[in-house]
Amino acid sequence: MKADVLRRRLVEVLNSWLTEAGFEGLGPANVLEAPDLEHAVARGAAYYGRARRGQGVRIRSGASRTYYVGIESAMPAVPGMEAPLKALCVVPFGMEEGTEAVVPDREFGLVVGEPAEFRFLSSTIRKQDRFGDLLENWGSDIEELNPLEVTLTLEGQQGTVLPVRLESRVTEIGTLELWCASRDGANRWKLELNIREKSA
Amino acid sequence: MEGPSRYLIGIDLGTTNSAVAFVDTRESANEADSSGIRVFEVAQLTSPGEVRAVPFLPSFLYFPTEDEVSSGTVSLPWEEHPSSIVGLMARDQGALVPGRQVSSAKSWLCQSAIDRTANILPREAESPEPMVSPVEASARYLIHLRNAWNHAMTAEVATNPQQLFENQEIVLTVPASFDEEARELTVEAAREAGLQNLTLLEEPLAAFYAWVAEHQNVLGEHLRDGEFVLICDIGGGTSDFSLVQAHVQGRNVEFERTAIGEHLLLGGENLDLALARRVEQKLTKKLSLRQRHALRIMCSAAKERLLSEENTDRLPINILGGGRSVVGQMLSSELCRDEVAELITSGFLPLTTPDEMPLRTRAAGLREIGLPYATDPAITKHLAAFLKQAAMAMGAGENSRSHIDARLQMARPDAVLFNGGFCIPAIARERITEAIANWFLPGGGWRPKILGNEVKSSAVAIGAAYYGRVRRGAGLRVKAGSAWTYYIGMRSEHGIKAVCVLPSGTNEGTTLPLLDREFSVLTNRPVSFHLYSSTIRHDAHGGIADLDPEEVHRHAPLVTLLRYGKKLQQMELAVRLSVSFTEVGTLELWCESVSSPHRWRLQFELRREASATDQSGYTSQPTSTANRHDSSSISEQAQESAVRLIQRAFTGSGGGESVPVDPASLVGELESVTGLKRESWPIATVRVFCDVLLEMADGRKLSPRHEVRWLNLFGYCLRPGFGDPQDRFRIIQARRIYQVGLAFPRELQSKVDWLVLWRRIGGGLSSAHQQELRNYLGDLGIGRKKPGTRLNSQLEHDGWRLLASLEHLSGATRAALGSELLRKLRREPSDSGWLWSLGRFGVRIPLYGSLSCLIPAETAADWITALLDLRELTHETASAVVQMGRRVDHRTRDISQDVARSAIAGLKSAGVADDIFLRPLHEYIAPVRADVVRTFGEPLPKGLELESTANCLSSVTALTS
Repeated sequence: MKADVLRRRLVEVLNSWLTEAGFEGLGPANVLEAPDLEHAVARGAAYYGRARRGQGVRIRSGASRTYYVGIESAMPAVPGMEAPLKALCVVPFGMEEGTEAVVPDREFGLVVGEPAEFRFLSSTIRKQDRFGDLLENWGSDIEELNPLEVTLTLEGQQGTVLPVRLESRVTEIGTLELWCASRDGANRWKLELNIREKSA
Repeated sequence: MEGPSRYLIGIDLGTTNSAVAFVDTRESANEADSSGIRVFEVAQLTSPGEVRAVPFLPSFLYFPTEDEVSSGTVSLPWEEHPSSIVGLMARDQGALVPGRQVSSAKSWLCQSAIDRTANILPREAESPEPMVSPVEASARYLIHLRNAWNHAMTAEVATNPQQLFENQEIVLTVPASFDEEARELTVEAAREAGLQNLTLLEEPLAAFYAWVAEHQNVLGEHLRDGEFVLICDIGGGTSDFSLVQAHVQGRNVEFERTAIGEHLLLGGENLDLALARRVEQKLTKKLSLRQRHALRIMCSAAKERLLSEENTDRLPINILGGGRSVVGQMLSSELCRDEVAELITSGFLPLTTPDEMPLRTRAAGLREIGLPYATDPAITKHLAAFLKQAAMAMGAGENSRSHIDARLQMARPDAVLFNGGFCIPAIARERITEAIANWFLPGGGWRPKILGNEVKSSAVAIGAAYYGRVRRGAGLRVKAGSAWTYYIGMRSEHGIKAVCVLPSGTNEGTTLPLLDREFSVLTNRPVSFHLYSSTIRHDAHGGIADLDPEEVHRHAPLVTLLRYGKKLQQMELAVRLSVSFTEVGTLELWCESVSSPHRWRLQFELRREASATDQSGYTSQPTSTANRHDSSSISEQAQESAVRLIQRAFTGSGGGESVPVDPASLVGELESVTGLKRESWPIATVRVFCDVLLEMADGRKLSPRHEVRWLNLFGYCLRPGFGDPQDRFRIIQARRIYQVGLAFPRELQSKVDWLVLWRRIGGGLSSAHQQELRNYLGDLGIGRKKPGTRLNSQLEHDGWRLLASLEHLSGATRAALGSELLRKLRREPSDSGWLWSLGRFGVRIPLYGSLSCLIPAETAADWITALLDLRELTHETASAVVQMGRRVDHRTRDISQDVARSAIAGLKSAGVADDIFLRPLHEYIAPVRADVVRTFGEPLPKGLELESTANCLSSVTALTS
């Protein structure tokens, strides 16, 4: 995009679309002056590195939805009824990228050594849920996302349920990392979900 | 025990209901059939304030709130203020408050993934609500049965304590699928309930015995030699299938287990839930927890009537409407027989093809930690799966070939014996029979025989009582023996190589000869052995086998510490294994030294932390076993001189030829004749002194100086009140001293040493005695407000030390006492007595008490914060903080990490403790003897063997050497 003629042509095309749609076209003032196009991305990244250290302007973005992971409840089987799913809030609305949190005081059973289905849910409506809240009823407020099918492994274990603690982290590249840490801390497994794409 | 007990008692300790049946040997000595067996009606709370006797006891535990306790609505005839209740009310009241109710404790008992001795129930409990372990819960059910029995027999028991429940011969049933660990834990629960004379019996065998009891004279008409019997036991919450081959020759009956199914969490409760759900849908209204529970109880009752009463086709179901508005507004619906029948037949017992296996829904990756309930409610599918598994277990042997359907690869039972509440309605039994018939001969024309026309809910208890009589030589014995073959793993490069230590079919009470094979083990290090068992393999005793992991079960490691030699060095020692299948029906393994007469018992290590044993060999890292202190010995002669000194000290001046010893110099003289400082007197010696002091108890009345010395030395010699087998007896005598009281009650030093005595032996006192001490101190004005009293400071300090040592007081009481103590500390921040007592009130690991004596972690954290705010910090402050804040890696017991961190920082910057001292605040460090001494407050007798764990500092090891 260094060539001026290409930039102008692009604005021209955009403006033709805009006027067609009934908007005003972009004037020269609307095109931001960008120096050093070749190194812009590298410079931006270096600037961001400094921003993380607390200097400069940091562009923050938070989760635009609330995310939950499905927890199957333990209950005697009843014909014609699936074991009810509970929803554990792992990313509250607005949780900032680059932050993490640990579900306190609660352990969950994690299936290792056989294929297992991890279900994720999200909501654009429930903005009040806090991290670690466990919901049982939610009506139509929450929708289910595509499940993740993974086989987590642990040497010598086949189809066992291990007690784990959950930690979640929203990364700067917009993914949700859900970490399952065994009680003694010796083993950790990661589940990853792209949450930026979904909100786009 | 004087002679055989009068009663023979059978206990069915069920997942949802327990029952007791008994034989009175005086009444029915001549009859050996079922007619002399009666079902015991168990008195229990059926609703608030109402106690009734009912022929069963729901296996639910409920922790009443303080209001419930004080209002008397949970009072029992034998206990006015129980901390927990069992039975119908516990079931119904507890369902409304899940955090205070324990259910299905028995199913937790066989979950090897959890620490079964840790306080994990109720699952929903939140600190500081009380929690118990599955073992403790089972013990409480048994204690209730014991108390109800002893109460019902008050008149007899009063005249003859031999007739107490705990003195009778008891047969306790366990599921066939219970592994050795679960069996041992069941025995532990029974021991906790005081039951001494115990034998375990598998439930299917008990059910079989109940049938035999009814048919013992016509057995041959019903069962032919070699026939296979399917025992189909579907209870309230669980299903257990077993396949046995009966060998019947005249009155000679043998019971050969062919296959045992897994403990399935599926049963009658699922049906009640399903019915309630159905009615709830009809109501088209969202119900509250309370309404749902009421609905479930109504549906369950309606179901029973609809299935048993011929003229009842439909029943109304009414539950109170929600909301605050109109009283008496009802939600009404109804349940009809067809609905119930339809749900049973198509929901739980569908007629499936032989190849339809239980559906396993795709494993949900994350789930609540709870019991592993069966996911497919179709019991018939589980049964088909079991018969396929049985066919594999039967193999291709000559005698089993005719009983395996070659096309289906499924075992075909000749007869079915039903048991369990779910099978009481005829419709359930007919449907299951039909399903089996259809699998093997779809056209009809063949059906398995059905043993018995009806199912009794108390059959297992009756069979157990009958077995009690069989053990006395009456009735028909069914030869059974151990269901498993046991193996001990050997060092092997690949695969599992093991030696068979106990073949299946071994009878109870058998000790097998020593194995030829020698094992080499390291001494003076914890050693673990790996035990395997199999129902499929049948090897001979001593045989070496290559085990297929698929066909064996690996048990928790067996751990022992072989203490050997004076210097306690590590060395290789050759041992042989001796194995007994005990009278109780548990496995007992001993290591015997080849070159000397030493033997050591091997025991299961069930604590999860200890699972990190070295898998390839036999040795493991040292565990938390307390360091052994070499017990310096005292010669026989020296001990005798010492005994004479004590006798002389407490004999009056008119006591004959010998010169009296001045009590004030007694300890010094004892030290010089034994040649050891008193801290080094071994436990055997101090207990001898203790017994002499008891003989000379009247000598304390000679003068105040005598009394002070007597009290002080007696307490010193009996500390900590337990550890020696005879200590219980000594405590009884100490209690007599307590009843008599002080001889010189006005003497300050007598009063002080009186408190010191009870503190030292407090670990041996019962909770009632401790409560009594608390009241005694309260009357003095210690731990209870008593305006106007001015206490001597030494008396007050020792009073608080005693209070803090009483670990049978509840956590709530101890928390309240500690908070009061904190006020004193604010005035005297460096008083080491107050600091020690506060630390003891706040301990994270009790010395000898149960975990219910612990104060909530939040309170402990508050106390720590308060201590750090004091204007003066000392090493004693640090010591108290470590007591109250040490990590145990337990969710509700650990204080918050923030508080721990600031405590470490605060104490370090004050220069009163270093990193090593404070490490237990930061991470779990297995407790050692120094921790025991710190919590106890002074050194313990040399040679007292203690086991310290994260749950208790001083459990005494059962090791003998």
